[in-house]
Amino acid sequence: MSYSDYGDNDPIYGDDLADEDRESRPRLMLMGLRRSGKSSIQRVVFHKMTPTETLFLESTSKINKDNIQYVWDFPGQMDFFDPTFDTTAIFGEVGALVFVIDSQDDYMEALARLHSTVVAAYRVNPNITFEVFIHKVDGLSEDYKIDTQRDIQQTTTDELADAGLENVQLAFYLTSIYDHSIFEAFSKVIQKLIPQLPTLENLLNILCANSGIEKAFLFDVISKIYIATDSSPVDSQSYEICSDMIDVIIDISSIYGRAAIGAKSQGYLDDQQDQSDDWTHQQDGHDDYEDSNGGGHGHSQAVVSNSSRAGSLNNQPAQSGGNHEAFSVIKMGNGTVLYLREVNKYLALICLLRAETFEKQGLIDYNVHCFKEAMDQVFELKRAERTRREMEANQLLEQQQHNGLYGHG
Amino acid sequence: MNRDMLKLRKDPTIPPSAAATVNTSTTNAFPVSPRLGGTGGDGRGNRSGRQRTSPKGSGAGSNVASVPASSNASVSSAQHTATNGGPTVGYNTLGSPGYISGPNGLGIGAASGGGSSPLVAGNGSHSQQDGSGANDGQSPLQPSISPISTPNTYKFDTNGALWALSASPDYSSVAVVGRDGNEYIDFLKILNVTEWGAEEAINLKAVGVRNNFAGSMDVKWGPTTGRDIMNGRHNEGRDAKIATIGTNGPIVIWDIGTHNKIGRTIKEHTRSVNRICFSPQEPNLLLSASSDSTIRLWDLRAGNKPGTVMDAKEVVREVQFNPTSMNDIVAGYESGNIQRWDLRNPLTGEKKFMAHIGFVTSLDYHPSGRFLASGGRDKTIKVWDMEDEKRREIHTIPTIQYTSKIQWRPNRPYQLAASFKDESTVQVFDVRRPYVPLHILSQHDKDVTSILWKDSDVLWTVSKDKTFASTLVKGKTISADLLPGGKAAMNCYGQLAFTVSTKAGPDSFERDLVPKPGRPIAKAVALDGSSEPMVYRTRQTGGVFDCELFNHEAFIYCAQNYSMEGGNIREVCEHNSNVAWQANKYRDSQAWTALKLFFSEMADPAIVLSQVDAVASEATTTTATKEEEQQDDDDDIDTLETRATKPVVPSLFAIKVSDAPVKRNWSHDDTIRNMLEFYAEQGEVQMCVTILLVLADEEDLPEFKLSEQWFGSYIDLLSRFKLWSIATAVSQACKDVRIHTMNQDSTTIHTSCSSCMKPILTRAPSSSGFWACDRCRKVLSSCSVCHKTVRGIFTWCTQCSHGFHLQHAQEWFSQSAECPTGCGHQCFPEMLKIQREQEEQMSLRQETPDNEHDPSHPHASLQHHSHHLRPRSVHSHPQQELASNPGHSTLRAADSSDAKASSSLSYLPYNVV
Repeated sequence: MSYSDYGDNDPIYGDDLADEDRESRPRLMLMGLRRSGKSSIQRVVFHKMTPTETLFLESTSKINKDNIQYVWDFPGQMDFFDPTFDTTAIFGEVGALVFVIDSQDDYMEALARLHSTVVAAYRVNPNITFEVFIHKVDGLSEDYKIDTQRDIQQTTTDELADAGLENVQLAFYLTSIYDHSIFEAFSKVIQKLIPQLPTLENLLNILCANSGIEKAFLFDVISKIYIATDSSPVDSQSYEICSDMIDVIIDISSIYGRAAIGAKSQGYLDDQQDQSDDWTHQQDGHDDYEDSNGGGHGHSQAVVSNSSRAGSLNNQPAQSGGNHEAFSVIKMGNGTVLYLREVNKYLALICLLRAETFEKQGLIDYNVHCFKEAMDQVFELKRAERTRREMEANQLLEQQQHNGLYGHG
Repeated sequence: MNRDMLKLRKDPTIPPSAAATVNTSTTNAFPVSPRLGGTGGDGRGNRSGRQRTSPKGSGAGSNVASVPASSNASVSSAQHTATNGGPTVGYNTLGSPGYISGPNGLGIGAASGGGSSPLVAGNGSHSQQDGSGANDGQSPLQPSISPISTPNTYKFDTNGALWALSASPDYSSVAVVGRDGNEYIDFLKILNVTEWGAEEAINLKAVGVRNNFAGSMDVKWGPTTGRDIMNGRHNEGRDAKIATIGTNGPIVIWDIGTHNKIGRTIKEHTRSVNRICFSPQEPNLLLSASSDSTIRLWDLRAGNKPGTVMDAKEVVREVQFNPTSMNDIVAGYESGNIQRWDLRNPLTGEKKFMAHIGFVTSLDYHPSGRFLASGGRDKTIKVWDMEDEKRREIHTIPTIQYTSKIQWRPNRPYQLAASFKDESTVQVFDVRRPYVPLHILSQHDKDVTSILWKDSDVLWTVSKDKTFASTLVKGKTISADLLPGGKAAMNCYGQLAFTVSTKAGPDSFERDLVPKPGRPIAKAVALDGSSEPMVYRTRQTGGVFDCELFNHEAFIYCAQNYSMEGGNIREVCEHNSNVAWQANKYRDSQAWTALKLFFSEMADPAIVLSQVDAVASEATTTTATKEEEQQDDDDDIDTLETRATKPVVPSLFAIKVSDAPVKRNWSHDDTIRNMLEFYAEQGEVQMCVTILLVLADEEDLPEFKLSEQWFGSYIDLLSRFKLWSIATAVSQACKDVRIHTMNQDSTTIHTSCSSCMKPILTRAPSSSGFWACDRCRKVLSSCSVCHKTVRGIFTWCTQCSHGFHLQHAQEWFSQSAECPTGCGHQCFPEMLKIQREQEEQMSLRQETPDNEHDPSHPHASLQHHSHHLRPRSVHSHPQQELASNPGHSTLRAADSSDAKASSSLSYLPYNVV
């Protein structure tokens, strides 16, 4: 399946940006000692490689510029501070520098390297955000995890303070490619680079508040990174279940998805019709489940319901560019409902809500529809006038508040 | 019960506005003795009081009605009977109208108008309260502690999911924020609260801004006077200040009292505000923590002046004032860090430390101002000593979910209450006993969102189930007392370990505190200011009881000595028979003998009979095997052996009579099958497996469905007795693929310290890593010669398990056969021979002149085979140098031993890894 790549497009910024726009887009750099897991991270997050396959990755010998994602994977052996290396060119345009530390190894050398990297990069470009992934923590016990992070964090910040760089802010994450932690960490890294984040967050907040949604994520479907969420704290369970939902939907849609559906330009009302059909069907399924399991709890026993037009989530994104949209609802045994709706080609909105709230599905559908329009306008604005982007977005936001998004009367 | 109540509560017939029918009088309604015995509909004053029905609809109030009404004493006694009687008390699901016995009629919930389902969750209902202590409303034998009309225990329905609460400074009123579930409109309500109930005083839904401006995430009542506002006696211009935040909007400061309007809105934060906090000392200072990575300080007197900005550089989730120091605040971040700030220096934060994995959810300063409790996404509550530089928590409480709110209990320096995400109970912990909550309060049906101690005995909570609840914590059952104290467990040696707890008295908790053990270096400080920190120790006594259920000695002996190789079945069976005999397993011995007979190609009668004779002292020839079983007086065994020996009998006759060689010309399938099935039934997998292995090469061996299970359980059993090698041998010998490959998949190698058995964990070798034990501080895998850690090839003696550097081992054992540790083990007996030869040669050589040392001595080539341990040139060894003889002879000796050494490599007692 070819959805493992982005093609030429960028999920966040839309596909039709001019080339000069691309040049100025923030770049993400993966650095760290050799064999610390940089390439594995890149493959797992952006290329859908399974974690076990990464065992067989060769060590990276040259800079691997993933132009699509703007993630540069640096070979660990490389000495950036060789005078022949143009640090200005390297660090000048970097948005975020991700430094990967192998927590299962002796990390003293890595810390020294991190320190010199940060010092050099900060001199060139003080706007870089520094992110430290304390990687491979799957091998550590809980106690050691926190000890390790504390130790690394303490050593690093103390050293930076000694070097007179108290203002450099390092963010630390415990990551592992064997669970969702790497995706979550990357989500937070990416979010810092998205200038529209406050706007998106606000839009999601309004959506949640007015639709009785407990938690909403805006996912980049392919990498399973969430680029925005509402402002309530993210607990790992809800993130994991939403992330798993994407997998389920993609798998199901690759089996049952109607590939040509995008060609049929369907109006919103048609969507509604389809949904209600599917909804009844889904109710049956759910009842069956209740009978057999006695209403037991557990996320794993979810009832997968419809995925009527999930076909467009797969590798045929935009044939008509019209109203095609993937949509899916999963009702779970513990009374939670997962609601997925495609926002644009690469983004999907996933909401977690209680079954009681979901009885007002029409309201939710309508609000999500408004949310999508608002999203379109946000990115439209960016194209139109980049410099005043945020102000405009805020105006839009207020407009949204008054016009569309609050609950029915 | 609770579930039923839940259903009733959701009854759509209950008009949502019913909650508004709350009483008109709060004070005159008590103390009125609740009137019992009334039948349904006998509401006192108003209907929204506590209602109950009898468990069996028709018998409504039957047992309650029998109690003489109208006296307080009888009320409580009735309650006692009821509770103790268990099944007689309870909320019913059936629709018969119950009686109403609200002590004052103060409204909780929606009275249903006596319709089909009259029940609303009782306010302060006795059984519920009792049940909440036990987290189980149905433990009937629970002693009832409080009388029927418990003050401070009630619920009040606000008709909207609540998110936060805050109390006026005198605790006479409570501000709650929530969201109307039907209209999705936020509201701020002021409730007047008394000991007996609450009433709604102000609802600012109408007053507030139309959309979600007001917000519902947090509310804080400014410490200015809020007194008497609700009674209309407020002073002009002395409005209470209440601050609220929403998910989305700005911070809103409300003027409550005269105006009930928005005083000021603060919009400076660019992202959502997560927490606000008023300074306890300076009522006009307000702190806000926001996702835009700033903490801001607002002075409400300063008009619309922008606040002081503290740039935290991380998303701030929580902020708190130190209750004792005006300028000291603490902030919790999304990254799990906690940082202290001094308001006088807003540019740079102070001490920052890593507290949790994942974000910090809640913070609360201890009333002493020194300690801080924090809750995090890693499902722990940690207590920190903020004056300590170590940045280590002094207490950790593991919780069922991550906390949504924690608060220290006033006047109980060790206790704190916590509410959790997606959890309808509130738990009160004592940090000295972190693993069991002191109390579990289950007043609510849905997630509790916020908590507040009114005083040291009363806890106020708000929940998504739309209610505000007050709970009298004092006198609640200590949940740990309900835990069963007795436990028992058995090991494979037949020993039963058990514990019995001595019954705890009412004040058992305080009495059972003992000084905290631990390293004397760690200068732990007690939260109540006393010098010695205490921990709780359960009152349990335990013991070990030896119950002779399983003869493990015989099992081990047999396991170690049974031969499992196929080969000559006769010999193997005979060997095993002897082993079983030695182990006093006469029956098994007999079985082996029988097997041997079955598989004897040529039965030599003399041998057979002498065998049988040897086995059975008083047996006659023909019935030898049968009578042997007299030693076992089990009937089953007799029948088995009868069955087993049946085919043998004619053969023995034949032997006796004709003396002719016996061919195995009939099938023993049935017999063997019976035998194996019998042993399987007895649980003797050892026999089953060994027999199967011994007979593995027999072609006509019947198939056994369960053989895989037998092997599995035998291997498991061997592992329990730590007979690892035998277990491996069994799995290797088994022909079943799944058993055979058992060792090949998912093999984990666990390493543990050889002296204290503490597991060596894979960890970053920042401190000691793999090379030393954390607990006993000993070097791991050290060389017995140089006492340094061996990195790389480690060589050890498989018998005495002392290890060496390969080189050191070579050097040492080129001279000595004994272990260098002095354990006395002859690690290298070859050396004795070598030494002897050496001596002989030396004595020879002393007579004859030296030969020249052969320069082509293959030392160099030998070095390549580093896994071949072989004596090495030792001329560098000082002791040897001191020897009277020149080095040549020793070299020579080494040479002469080369051939032997290489021939004996296969059984050298050294393993090389």
